Amino acid sequence: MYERRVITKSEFHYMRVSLDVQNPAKALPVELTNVYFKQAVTAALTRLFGDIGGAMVAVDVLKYNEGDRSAILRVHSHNLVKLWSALTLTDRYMSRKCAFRVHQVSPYLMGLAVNSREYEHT
Amino acid sequence: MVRFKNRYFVLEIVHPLHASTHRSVQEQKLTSQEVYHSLKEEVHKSHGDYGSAAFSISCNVKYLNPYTNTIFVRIRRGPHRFLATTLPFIKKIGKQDNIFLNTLYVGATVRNCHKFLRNHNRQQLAVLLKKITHPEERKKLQTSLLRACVLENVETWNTQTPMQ
Repeated sequence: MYERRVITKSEFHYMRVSLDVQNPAKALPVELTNVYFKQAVTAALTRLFGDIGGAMVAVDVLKYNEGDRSAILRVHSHNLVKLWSALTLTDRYMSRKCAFRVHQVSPYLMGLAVNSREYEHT
Repeated sequence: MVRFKNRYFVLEIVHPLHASTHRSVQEQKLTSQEVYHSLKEEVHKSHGDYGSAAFSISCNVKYLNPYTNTIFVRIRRGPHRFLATTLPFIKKIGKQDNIFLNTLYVGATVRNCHKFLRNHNRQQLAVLLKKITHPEERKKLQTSLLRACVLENVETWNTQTPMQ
């Protein structure tokens, strides 16, 4: 007899996010490099969850694209809700109004490879 | 059935600088409002908007003794973590600067906290009695203890001649 086992529990969740700033044509006071992007994410976490609470959520920026300010973030699965809520509730980056747009979330990195929303049919 | 659970923290404000000297009543007595606001501010720093909101919904300062600097704080069982992790970072309450909050007891009912505090105070009285060296102050403490127990006239009662 065969037994089918499905293991879906993944330790991490991966998110593809981008930072939308108001008036993108106007230059930012500090250009958003990968370091500043990570700082924006951790600042969002500490604003909502405090020094202790924000430090408990370990976020990694796996890939960052400076052109369209999009990144792939990795977070432990039990911290996903905290990260997502912190990103949703951010309203400014260095005195400029901004918003984090979440494009894709998946427990597997391969899940971010294709996106049916942005797929262009030829 | 989901129960409504609370945690009661029994805290003691310790002034490290004044610890060795005889404790006296502060000029400005502590109020529960001051305690609540200091705690809330510190929870906001440590746990952000989320922590301070959860704290402000569920937290009360239930009992305050400005003479012994003892405080009972009630908070719901989930958010009690925020308070518990923040307590070591509290350095000032109201006008009192440079303090340290000692957590004496954490209970689930105010009754157990009261029982603990009663026993704790009894032990503290014994310690205090040993510490006071000045004979007049000892006498003062002893008379006030006797008065509290309504045993003022116990000496005269004992020396009465027994009934035949």
